[in-house]
Amino acid sequence: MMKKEKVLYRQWLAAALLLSLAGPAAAQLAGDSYESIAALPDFGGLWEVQRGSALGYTPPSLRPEYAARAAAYAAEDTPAANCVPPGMPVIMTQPYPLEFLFTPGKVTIMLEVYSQWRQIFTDGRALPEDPDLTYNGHSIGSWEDETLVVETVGVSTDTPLARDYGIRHSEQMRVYERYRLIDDDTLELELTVYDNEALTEPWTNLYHYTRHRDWTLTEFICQQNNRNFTTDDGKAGVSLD
Amino acid sequence: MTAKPASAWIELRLPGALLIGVLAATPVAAQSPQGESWASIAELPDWGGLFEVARGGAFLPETLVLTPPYAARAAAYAAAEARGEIQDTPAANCVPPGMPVVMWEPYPLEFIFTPGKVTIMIEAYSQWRQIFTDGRAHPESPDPTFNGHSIGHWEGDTLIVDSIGFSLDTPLGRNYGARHSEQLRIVERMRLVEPDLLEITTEIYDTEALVEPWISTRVYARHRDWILTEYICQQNNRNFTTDDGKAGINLEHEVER
Repeated sequence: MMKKEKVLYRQWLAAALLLSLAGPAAAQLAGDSYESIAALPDFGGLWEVQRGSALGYTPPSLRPEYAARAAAYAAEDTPAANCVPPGMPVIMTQPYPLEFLFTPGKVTIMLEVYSQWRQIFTDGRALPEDPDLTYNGHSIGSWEDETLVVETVGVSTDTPLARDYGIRHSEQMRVYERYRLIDDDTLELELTVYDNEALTEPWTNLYHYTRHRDWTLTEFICQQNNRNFTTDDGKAGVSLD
Repeated sequence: MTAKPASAWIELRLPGALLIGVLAATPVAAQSPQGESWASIAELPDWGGLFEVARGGAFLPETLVLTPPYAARAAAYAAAEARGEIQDTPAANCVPPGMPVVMWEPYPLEFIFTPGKVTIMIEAYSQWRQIFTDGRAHPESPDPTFNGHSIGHWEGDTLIVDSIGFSLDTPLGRNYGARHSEQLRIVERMRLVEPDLLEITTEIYDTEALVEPWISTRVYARHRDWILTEYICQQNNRNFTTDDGKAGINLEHEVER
């Protein structure tokens, strides 16, 4: 009896140890408390995307209907002329600083351009089944070791897919982002867009950001100096008087 | 029995006086956690969740007393409104009101504590305010901005925020006729007065525009299960702009009916 109990106890102990290692996810989410945040990689300071880096840029491979729309696009300005931001994913690669704010259960990305933000819920919640469409979408994230992995859905189709506003996405778009430090002051983003309706294949690009520890975000109110008139068809007018 | 605390107090008078001297010499800030590290933030009061101005705080009567030149300007604005010459505010063109009004709008706020900084996320117009709690001073000549330059520190459970550097494009209160000068300074005292009620006292100093400091207090109710919603004013800003820069209104569909 004694011996059997001891064996059972050891088996129970081993099982308990395994469970605690594998972990019920809810109890062990990285960044769910300030203590846990202290153990995360240090994303402090401001980050600005590197321009003209040697990373290359792969254009998206569009399905015929979307390619035709891109080819037919010939506008004199974009909605940005009326202070409308570009939304995800373009907002992440504009030449303005970003800041990551970690709080329990959430990563907030502050975007200087247009004074925007993104909220990435890291508290284990699921994506909404039928999200309200927004420019920056609805995002959840988790940590895979030192990499912040973000999944985004629910991006408004008012926004372009790329900097060229002729390139569009569908409501099906899902954006996957993987952020990790590749050296002390360089953050790498691997950004992949999935959109079966608009793309013939997933579209992946790498971006590098440089850290500026001594910068602070500056207020950006596009409308403050937006004194152009609006033409009858809704475009920003230019007065040459 | 009552004598004991009294005598103990008498005994403590001398060291007490010394202690008061030390407290006066030492910034009170040093006594409270300041949120300079994650460990320090964990000791700060829990301001998690979203807060929305409550109990009519968005529409409090504004009791500011303007100096004669600023009162004259406000009167001229009101007269122009009465004559129909002013029919909208810059908000009609998606220009936010700046401080202090942006803290009083009927939209949620969220407080984000990170080492050395408190960020206030403001749903209205998708804005934010940054309050540096790392001990830095204000810049000597700040670039004027809608929300100003803010530094803060904790005194016990109270966050005290000092802001300067405001753009003259913004109004002083909800009435766009009442303006402020470049001297505007805003001191805010923020603390939880109940588990789910944050109180903010706003002290507005501007000797050029105000006869006396304008002090008002609002409470904000906590909503733990809310999340901030994206707010892009320009998205549906499809009004045309009139020749003099105002937001136009198209009444054609009304006529058709």
